[in-house]
Amino acid sequence: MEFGRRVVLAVGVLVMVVAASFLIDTAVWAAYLQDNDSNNPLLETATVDQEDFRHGPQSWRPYATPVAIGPGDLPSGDWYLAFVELGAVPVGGNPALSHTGSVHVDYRFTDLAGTASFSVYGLRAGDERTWTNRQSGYGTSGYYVSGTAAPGEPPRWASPLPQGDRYIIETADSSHSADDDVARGTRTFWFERTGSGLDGLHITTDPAVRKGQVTETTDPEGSFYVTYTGGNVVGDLFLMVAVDRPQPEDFELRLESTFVEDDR
Amino acid sequence: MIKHPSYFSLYEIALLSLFGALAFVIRMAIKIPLHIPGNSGILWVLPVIIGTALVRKPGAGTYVGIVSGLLASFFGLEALHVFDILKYTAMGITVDLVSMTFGYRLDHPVVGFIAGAAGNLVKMVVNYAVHLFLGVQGTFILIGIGASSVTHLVFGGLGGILAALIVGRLCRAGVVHQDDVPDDG
Repeated sequence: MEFGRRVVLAVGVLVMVVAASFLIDTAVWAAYLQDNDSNNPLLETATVDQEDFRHGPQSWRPYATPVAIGPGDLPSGDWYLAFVELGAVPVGGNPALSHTGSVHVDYRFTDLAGTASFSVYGLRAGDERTWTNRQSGYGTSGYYVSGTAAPGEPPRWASPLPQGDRYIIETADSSHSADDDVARGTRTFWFERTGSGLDGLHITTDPAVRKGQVTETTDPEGSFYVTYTGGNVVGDLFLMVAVDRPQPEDFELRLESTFVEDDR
Repeated sequence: MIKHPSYFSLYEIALLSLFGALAFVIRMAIKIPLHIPGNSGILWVLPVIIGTALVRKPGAGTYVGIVSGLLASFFGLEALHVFDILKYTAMGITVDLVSMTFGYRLDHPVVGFIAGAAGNLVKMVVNYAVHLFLGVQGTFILIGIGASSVTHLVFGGLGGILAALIVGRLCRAGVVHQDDVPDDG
Protein backbone atom coordinates (compact mmCIF):
# COMPACT_ATOMS: atom_id res chain seq x y z
CA MET A 1 0.00 0.00 0.00
CA GLU A 2 1.44 3.37 -0.95
CA PHE A 3 2.40 5.94 1.66
CA GLY A 4 -0.52 8.33 0.95
CA ARG A 5 -3.12 5.60 1.37
CA ARG A 6 -1.61 4.51 4.66
CA VAL A 7 -1.76 8.09 5.90
CA VAL A 8 -5.41 8.40 4.90
CA LEU A 9 -6.21 5.06 6.55
CA ALA A 10 -4.40 6.01 9.77
CA VAL A 11 -6.09 9.42 9.95
CA GLY A 12 -9.42 7.67 9.33
CA VAL A 13 -8.80 5.34 12.27
CA LEU A 14 -7.95 8.32 14.52
CA VAL A 15 -11.10 10.14 13.43
CA MET A 16 -13.15 7.01 14.17
CA VAL A 17 -11.68 6.80 17.69
CA VAL A 18 -12.57 10.44 18.32
CA ALA A 19 -16.07 9.91 16.87
CA ALA A 20 -16.56 6.87 19.11
CA SER A 21 -15.49 8.96 22.10
CA PHE A 22 -18.08 11.61 21.25
CA LEU A 23 -20.73 8.90 20.86
CA ILE A 24 -19.90 7.50 24.31
CA ASP A 25 -19.86 11.03 25.75
CA THR A 26 -23.26 11.85 24.24
CA ALA A 27 -24.79 8.53 25.30
CA VAL A 28 -23.55 8.85 28.91
CA TRP A 29 -24.68 12.46 29.09
CA ALA A 30 -28.12 11.61 27.68
CA ALA A 31 -28.48 8.74 30.16
CA TYR A 32 -27.44 11.08 32.97
CA LEU A 33 -30.00 13.71 31.97
CA GLN A 34 -32.71 11.08 31.57
CA ASP A 35 -31.98 9.67 35.00
CA ASN A 36 -31.89 13.15 36.44
CA ASP A 37 -35.35 13.92 35.12
CA SER A 38 -37.02 10.76 36.39
CA ASN A 39 -37.29 11.56 40.11
CA ASN A 40 -33.57 12.24 40.20
CA PRO A 41 -32.14 8.77 40.98
CA LEU A 42 -28.68 10.33 41.20
CA LEU A 43 -29.89 12.07 44.33
CA GLU A 44 -28.09 10.43 47.22
CA THR A 45 -29.57 10.43 50.69
CA ALA A 46 -27.95 9.64 54.00
CA THR A 47 -28.98 9.83 57.62
CA VAL A 48 -26.63 10.46 60.51
CA ASP A 49 -27.71 9.54 64.02
CA GLN A 50 -26.13 9.61 67.46
CA GLU A 51 -24.21 6.36 66.90
CA ASP A 52 -22.54 7.57 63.71
CA PHE A 53 -20.18 9.83 65.66
CA ARG A 54 -17.39 7.25 65.77
CA HIS A 55 -14.45 9.55 66.47
CA GLY A 56 -13.70 11.96 69.31
CA PRO A 57 -13.72 13.78 71.57
CA GLN A 58 -10.95 15.80 69.95
CA SER A 59 -10.21 19.41 69.10
CA TRP A 60 -8.93 18.89 65.55
CA ARG A 61 -9.91 17.26 62.30
CA PRO A 62 -7.76 15.16 59.95
CA TYR A 63 -5.11 16.78 57.77
CA ALA A 64 -1.30 16.52 57.48
CA THR A 65 -1.23 18.65 60.62
CA PRO A 66 -4.24 18.93 62.93
CA VAL A 67 -6.58 21.73 61.88
CA ALA A 68 -9.39 23.37 63.83
CA ILE A 69 -12.96 22.19 63.58
CA GLY A 70 -14.79 25.18 64.94
CA PRO A 71 -14.59 28.71 63.54
CA GLY A 72 -11.10 30.11 63.91
CA ASP A 73 -7.55 28.97 63.31
CA LEU A 74 -6.64 27.08 66.48
CA PRO A 75 -8.01 23.66 67.46
CA SER A 76 -10.19 23.92 70.56
CA GLY A 77 -13.16 22.20 72.17
CA ASP A 78 -14.23 18.57 72.35
CA TRP A 79 -15.80 17.52 69.08
CA TYR A 80 -17.30 14.24 67.94
CA LEU A 81 -16.82 13.41 64.25
CA ALA A 82 -18.93 11.51 61.73
CA PHE A 83 -17.97 10.92 58.09
CA VAL A 84 -20.62 10.46 55.42
CA GLU A 85 -19.95 9.52 51.79
CA LEU A 86 -22.01 11.88 49.65
CA GLY A 87 -22.28 9.61 46.59
CA ALA A 88 -21.71 12.46 44.14
CA VAL A 89 -18.47 14.24 43.34
CA PRO A 90 -17.70 17.75 42.08
CA VAL A 91 -16.02 17.94 38.68
CA GLY A 92 -13.35 20.54 38.04
CA GLY A 93 -11.15 21.32 35.09
CA ASN A 94 -11.61 23.47 32.04
CA PRO A 95 -15.35 24.28 31.73
CA ALA A 96 -15.04 24.57 27.97
CA LEU A 97 -13.93 20.97 27.70
CA SER A 98 -15.95 18.99 30.20
CA HIS A 99 -19.18 19.10 32.17
CA THR A 100 -17.87 20.72 35.31
CA GLY A 101 -20.12 21.03 38.32
CA SER A 102 -20.54 21.00 42.06
CA VAL A 103 -22.38 18.88 44.61
CA HIS A 104 -25.51 20.39 46.12
CA VAL A 105 -26.14 19.27 49.70
CA ASP A 106 -29.43 19.73 51.54
CA TYR A 107 -29.34 19.14 55.28
CA ARG A 108 -32.00 18.94 57.99
CA PHE A 109 -31.13 18.62 61.69
CA THR A 110 -33.50 17.26 64.30
CA ASP A 111 -32.64 17.96 67.95
CA LEU A 112 -29.17 19.37 67.42
CA ALA A 113 -27.31 20.19 70.65
CA GLY A 114 -24.52 22.75 70.45
CA THR A 115 -22.74 23.54 67.20
CA ALA A 116 -22.36 21.32 64.16
CA SER A 117 -19.47 21.92 61.77
CA PHE A 118 -19.41 20.69 58.16
CA SER A 119 -16.13 19.99 56.38
CA VAL A 120 -15.48 18.13 53.13
CA TYR A 121 -12.90 15.52 52.18
CA GLY A 122 -12.26 14.39 48.63
CA LEU A 123 -10.22 11.35 47.64
CA ARG A 124 -8.28 11.55 44.43
CA ALA A 125 -9.48 8.93 41.95
CA GLY A 126 -7.30 5.85 42.05
CA ASP A 127 -5.50 6.44 45.34
CA GLU A 128 -5.95 7.64 48.92
CA ARG A 129 -4.56 11.13 48.43
CA THR A 130 -7.06 13.43 50.09
CA TRP A 131 -8.09 17.06 49.83
CA THR A 132 -10.11 19.11 52.29
CA ASN A 133 -11.45 22.64 52.60
CA ARG A 134 -9.09 25.30 53.94
CA GLN A 135 -9.65 26.12 57.60
CA SER A 136 -7.58 29.29 57.91
CA GLY A 137 -6.06 31.98 55.74
CA TYR A 138 -7.09 33.10 52.27
CA GLY A 139 -9.75 30.85 50.78
CA THR A 140 -11.16 29.61 54.10
CA SER A 141 -14.57 27.99 53.80
CA GLY A 142 -16.85 26.20 56.20
CA TYR A 143 -20.42 25.82 57.39
CA TYR A 144 -21.60 25.91 61.02
CA VAL A 145 -25.07 25.28 62.40
CA SER A 146 -26.09 25.97 66.02
CA GLY A 147 -28.88 24.08 67.78
CA THR A 148 -30.71 24.46 71.07
CA ALA A 149 -31.49 20.87 72.12
CA ALA A 150 -30.23 19.57 75.47
CA PRO A 151 -27.02 17.50 75.19
CA GLY A 152 -27.16 13.73 75.59
CA GLU A 153 -24.79 11.20 77.10
CA PRO A 154 -21.20 11.06 75.76
CA PRO A 155 -21.00 8.29 73.13
CA ARG A 156 -19.26 5.21 74.55
CA TRP A 157 -18.41 3.93 71.09
CA ALA A 158 -16.38 6.97 70.02
CA SER A 159 -12.58 7.15 70.26
CA PRO A 160 -10.19 9.92 69.20
CA LEU A 161 -8.30 9.54 65.94
CA PRO A 162 -4.52 9.14 66.32
CA GLN A 163 -2.59 12.06 64.82
CA GLY A 164 -0.58 11.54 61.65
CA ASP A 165 -0.84 12.03 57.91
CA ARG A 166 -2.83 8.84 57.25
CA TYR A 167 -6.19 8.26 58.92
CA ILE A 168 -8.49 5.26 58.87
CA ILE A 169 -11.94 6.68 59.42
CA GLU A 170 -15.19 4.85 60.04
CA THR A 171 -17.94 5.95 57.71
CA ALA A 172 -21.48 6.63 58.78
CA ASP A 173 -22.90 5.07 55.65
CA SER A 174 -21.06 1.85 54.76
CA SER A 175 -23.22 1.00 51.79
CA HIS A 176 -20.14 0.31 49.70
CA SER A 177 -16.39 0.23 50.08
CA ALA A 178 -14.11 0.33 47.04
CA ASP A 179 -11.00 -0.78 48.87
CA ASP A 180 -10.84 -4.45 49.72
CA ASP A 181 -7.73 -4.07 51.87
CA VAL A 182 -9.53 -2.35 54.71
CA ALA A 183 -12.49 -3.51 56.74
CA ARG A 184 -15.96 -2.69 55.50
CA GLY A 185 -17.16 0.70 56.65
CA THR A 186 -13.72 2.31 56.86
CA ARG A 187 -11.77 4.46 54.43
CA THR A 188 -8.24 5.75 54.46
CA PHE A 189 -7.41 9.45 54.09
CA TRP A 190 -3.82 10.26 53.22
CA PHE A 191 -2.41 13.78 53.21
CA GLU A 192 0.75 13.98 51.17
CA ARG A 193 2.38 16.96 52.85
CA THR A 194 1.58 20.01 54.93
CA GLY A 195 0.26 22.89 52.85
CA SER A 196 -0.90 20.63 50.02
CA GLY A 197 -4.49 19.63 49.32
CA LEU A 198 -6.19 22.64 50.89
CA ASP A 199 -7.14 24.69 47.86
CA GLY A 200 -9.15 22.27 45.73
CA LEU A 201 -12.36 21.67 47.67
CA HIS A 202 -14.59 24.42 48.99
CA ILE A 203 -17.92 24.88 50.76
CA THR A 204 -20.07 27.67 49.40
CA THR A 205 -23.65 28.87 49.54
CA ASP A 206 -23.35 30.31 46.04
CA PRO A 207 -21.82 28.07 43.34
CA ALA A 208 -20.72 31.21 41.48
CA VAL A 209 -18.42 31.98 44.43
CA ARG A 210 -16.32 28.93 43.81
CA LYS A 211 -13.73 29.45 46.55
CA GLY A 212 -16.50 29.49 49.13
CA GLN A 213 -16.98 31.35 52.39
CA VAL A 214 -17.59 30.71 56.08
CA THR A 215 -21.28 30.49 56.99
CA GLU A 216 -22.71 30.42 60.51
CA THR A 217 -26.43 29.86 60.96
CA THR A 218 -29.04 28.73 63.48
CA ASP A 219 -31.39 27.41 60.80
CA PRO A 220 -31.71 23.60 61.27
CA GLU A 221 -32.50 23.22 57.56
CA GLY A 222 -30.49 24.57 54.70
CA SER A 223 -28.20 23.82 51.82
CA PHE A 224 -24.73 24.46 50.50
CA TYR A 225 -22.54 23.45 47.58
CA VAL A 226 -19.25 21.62 47.47
CA THR A 227 -17.13 23.03 44.66
CA TYR A 228 -13.82 21.82 43.22
CA THR A 229 -11.26 24.06 41.57
CA GLY A 230 -8.52 21.48 41.00
CA GLY A 231 -7.64 19.74 37.78
CA ASN A 232 -7.59 16.11 38.93
CA VAL A 233 -10.52 13.75 39.28
CA VAL A 234 -12.25 13.48 42.65
CA GLY A 235 -13.09 9.80 43.10
CA ASP A 236 -15.07 9.96 46.35
CA LEU A 237 -16.43 12.82 48.41
CA PHE A 238 -17.04 12.68 52.15
CA LEU A 239 -18.82 15.15 54.38
CA MET A 240 -17.44 15.40 57.90
CA VAL A 241 -20.04 16.39 60.47
CA ALA A 242 -18.59 17.39 63.83
CA VAL A 243 -20.59 18.32 66.93
CA ASP A 244 -19.21 19.97 70.04
CA ARG A 245 -21.75 18.38 72.42
CA PRO A 246 -22.87 14.78 72.90
CA GLN A 247 -26.10 14.49 70.96
CA PRO A 248 -29.45 13.40 72.43
CA GLU A 249 -31.08 10.12 71.43
CA ASP A 250 -33.52 11.82 69.07
CA PHE A 251 -30.76 13.57 67.16
CA GLU A 252 -30.88 13.06 63.40
CA LEU A 253 -29.21 14.67 60.42
CA ARG A 254 -30.80 14.05 57.05
CA LEU A 255 -28.61 14.71 54.00
CA GLU A 256 -29.49 14.83 50.32
CA SER A 257 -26.75 15.37 47.77
CA THR A 258 -26.75 15.62 44.01
CA PHE A 259 -24.44 16.69 41.21
CA VAL A 260 -25.27 20.08 39.71
CA GLU A 261 -23.67 21.08 36.42
CA ASP A 262 -22.16 24.56 36.23
CA ASP A 263 -23.95 27.20 34.20
CA ARG A 264 -22.01 27.88 31.03
CA MET B 1 29.40 -22.63 23.35
CA ILE B 2 27.37 -20.69 20.80
CA LYS B 3 26.63 -17.17 21.85
CA HIS B 4 23.32 -15.88 20.47
CA PRO B 5 23.31 -12.19 19.63
CA SER B 6 20.70 -10.24 21.55
CA TYR B 7 17.82 -8.62 19.68
CA PHE B 8 18.90 -5.13 20.74
CA SER B 9 22.60 -4.25 20.83
CA LEU B 10 24.12 -2.89 24.01
CA TYR B 11 24.18 0.56 22.42
CA GLU B 12 20.47 0.31 21.52
CA ILE B 13 19.51 -0.89 24.99
CA ALA B 14 21.41 1.99 26.56
CA LEU B 15 19.81 4.47 24.16
CA LEU B 16 16.27 3.16 24.68
CA SER B 17 16.71 3.04 28.46
CA LEU B 18 17.86 6.65 28.46
CA PHE B 19 14.87 7.68 26.39
CA GLY B 20 12.58 5.74 28.75
CA ALA B 21 14.09 7.55 31.70
CA LEU B 22 13.75 10.86 29.82
CA ALA B 23 10.03 10.21 29.22
CA PHE B 24 9.59 9.62 32.97
CA VAL B 25 11.60 12.71 33.94
CA ILE B 26 9.68 14.92 31.49
CA ARG B 27 6.38 13.57 32.82
CA MET B 28 7.36 14.24 36.44
CA ALA B 29 9.33 17.47 36.13
CA ILE B 30 7.34 19.53 33.65
CA LYS B 31 3.79 20.45 34.56
CA ILE B 32 1.87 22.64 32.14
CA PRO B 33 -0.99 24.27 34.12
CA LEU B 34 -3.44 24.34 31.22
CA HIS B 35 -6.00 22.02 32.84
CA ILE B 36 -6.62 20.59 29.39
CA PRO B 37 -6.74 16.80 29.19
CA GLY B 38 -3.75 15.27 27.41
CA ASN B 39 -1.68 18.46 27.29
CA SER B 40 1.36 16.66 28.68
CA GLY B 41 1.37 14.49 25.56
CA ILE B 42 3.03 17.28 23.62
CA LEU B 43 6.21 16.58 25.59
CA TRP B 44 6.29 12.96 26.63
CA VAL B 45 5.69 11.47 23.17
CA LEU B 46 9.01 13.04 22.13
CA PRO B 47 11.37 10.49 23.77
CA VAL B 48 9.19 7.54 22.74
CA ILE B 49 9.08 8.55 19.08
CA ILE B 50 12.70 9.68 18.85
CA GLY B 51 13.93 6.50 20.56
CA THR B 52 11.92 4.37 18.17
CA ALA B 53 13.13 6.38 15.17
CA LEU B 54 16.77 6.01 16.13
CA VAL B 55 16.75 2.26 16.82
CA ARG B 56 14.32 1.37 14.02
CA LYS B 57 13.46 -2.10 15.27
CA PRO B 58 10.06 -3.54 16.22
CA GLY B 59 9.74 -3.37 19.99
CA ALA B 60 11.85 -0.24 20.46
CA GLY B 61 8.84 1.91 21.39
CA THR B 62 7.52 -0.81 23.66
CA TYR B 63 10.91 -0.98 25.40
CA VAL B 64 10.90 2.79 26.00
CA GLY B 65 7.30 2.55 27.25
CA ILE B 66 8.10 -0.29 29.67
CA VAL B 67 11.17 1.50 31.10
CA SER B 68 9.28 4.77 31.63
CA GLY B 69 6.27 2.84 32.96
CA LEU B 70 8.37 0.94 35.49
CA LEU B 71 9.98 4.16 36.68
CA ALA B 72 6.60 5.88 36.93
CA SER B 73 5.08 2.93 38.76
CA PHE B 74 7.68 2.79 41.48
CA PHE B 75 9.09 6.31 41.66
CA GLY B 76 6.37 8.50 40.20
CA LEU B 77 3.73 10.62 41.83
CA GLU B 78 0.90 9.74 39.49
CA ALA B 79 -2.43 8.59 40.84
CA LEU B 80 -2.42 5.13 39.35
CA HIS B 81 0.88 3.92 40.86
CA VAL B 82 1.66 0.42 39.53
CA PHE B 83 -1.07 0.71 36.91
CA ASP B 84 0.92 3.51 35.28
CA ILE B 85 3.00 0.89 33.52
CA LEU B 86 -0.06 -0.04 31.46
CA LYS B 87 -0.55 3.37 29.90
CA TYR B 88 3.16 3.98 29.26
CA THR B 89 3.55 0.54 27.68
CA ALA B 90 0.37 0.96 25.63
CA MET B 91 1.74 4.20 24.22
CA GLY B 92 5.04 2.50 23.32
CA ILE B 93 3.29 -0.39 21.60
CA THR B 94 1.15 2.05 19.61
CA VAL B 95 4.18 4.06 18.46
CA ASP B 96 5.82 0.76 17.47
CA LEU B 97 2.81 -0.28 15.40
CA VAL B 98 2.54 3.09 13.66
CA SER B 99 6.29 3.08 12.96
CA MET B 100 6.17 -0.37 11.40
CA THR B 101 3.12 0.56 9.35
CA PHE B 102 4.98 3.52 7.84
CA GLY B 103 8.36 1.81 7.44
CA TYR B 104 9.96 3.88 10.23
CA ARG B 105 9.59 7.15 8.34
CA LEU B 106 9.30 8.93 11.67
CA ASP B 107 11.19 11.92 10.30
CA HIS B 108 8.08 12.74 8.25
CA PRO B 109 5.85 15.23 10.14
CA VAL B 110 2.65 13.51 9.04
CA VAL B 111 3.86 10.14 10.35
CA GLY B 112 5.07 11.87 13.51
CA PHE B 113 1.61 13.41 13.97
CA ILE B 114 -0.10 10.06 13.53
CA ALA B 115 2.31 8.28 15.91
CA GLY B 116 2.01 10.97 18.60
CA ALA B 117 -1.75 11.33 18.30
CA ALA B 118 -2.35 7.57 18.30
CA GLY B 119 0.00 7.06 21.26
CA ASN B 120 -1.63 9.79 23.31
CA LEU B 121 -5.15 8.57 22.43
CA VAL B 122 -4.33 4.99 23.42
CA LYS B 123 -2.83 6.29 26.67
CA MET B 124 -6.14 8.11 27.32
CA VAL B 125 -8.20 4.98 26.65
CA VAL B 126 -6.01 2.88 28.98
CA ASN B 127 -6.24 5.62 31.62
CA TYR B 128 -10.07 5.60 31.48
CA ALA B 129 -10.13 1.80 31.53
CA VAL B 130 -7.93 1.64 34.64
CA HIS B 131 -10.06 4.25 36.42
CA LEU B 132 -13.21 2.27 35.62
CA PHE B 133 -11.47 -0.92 36.77
CA LEU B 134 -10.59 0.79 40.06
CA GLY B 135 -14.23 1.60 40.67
CA VAL B 136 -14.46 5.29 39.78
CA GLN B 137 -18.03 6.14 38.82
CA GLY B 138 -18.26 5.91 35.04
CA THR B 139 -20.71 8.80 34.72
CA PHE B 140 -18.28 11.27 36.19
CA ILE B 141 -15.27 10.34 34.09
CA LEU B 142 -16.92 9.40 30.79
CA ILE B 143 -18.76 12.71 30.53
CA GLY B 144 -16.32 14.85 28.61
CA ILE B 145 -14.45 12.00 26.93
CA GLY B 146 -15.35 13.42 23.50
CA ALA B 147 -13.57 16.74 24.01
CA SER B 148 -10.83 14.93 25.89
CA SER B 149 -10.14 12.67 22.89
CA VAL B 150 -9.77 15.73 20.63
CA THR B 151 -7.29 17.41 22.98
CA HIS B 152 -5.32 14.17 23.38
CA LEU B 153 -5.18 13.84 19.60
CA VAL B 154 -4.08 17.45 19.08
CA PHE B 155 -1.43 17.56 21.81
CA GLY B 156 -0.08 14.10 21.00
CA GLY B 157 -0.02 15.00 17.31
CA LEU B 158 1.83 18.25 17.96
CA GLY B 159 4.37 16.37 20.06
CA GLY B 160 4.73 13.86 17.22
CA ILE B 161 5.39 16.64 14.69
CA LEU B 162 8.05 18.10 16.98
CA ALA B 163 9.63 14.65 17.34
CA ALA B 164 9.63 14.18 13.56
CA LEU B 165 11.31 17.54 13.01
CA ILE B 166 13.98 16.65 15.59
CA VAL B 167 14.56 13.23 14.03
CA GLY B 168 14.78 14.77 10.56
CA ARG B 169 17.34 17.33 11.67
CA LEU B 170 19.40 14.72 13.52
CA CYS B 171 19.47 12.47 10.46
CA ARG B 172 20.31 15.23 8.03
CA ALA B 173 23.04 16.52 10.33
CA GLY B 174 24.55 13.04 10.44
CA VAL B 175 24.43 13.00 14.22
CA VAL B 176 22.68 9.65 14.16
CA HIS B 177 22.86 6.66 11.83
CA GLN B 178 20.66 7.43 8.86
CA ASP B 179 20.19 4.06 7.13
CA ASP B 180 17.34 4.50 4.68
CA VAL B 181 15.81 7.68 6.09
CA PRO B 182 15.03 9.78 3.03
CA ASP B 183 16.92 13.04 2.84
CA ASP B 184 14.03 15.03 1.44
CA GLY B 185 11.77 14.13 4.32
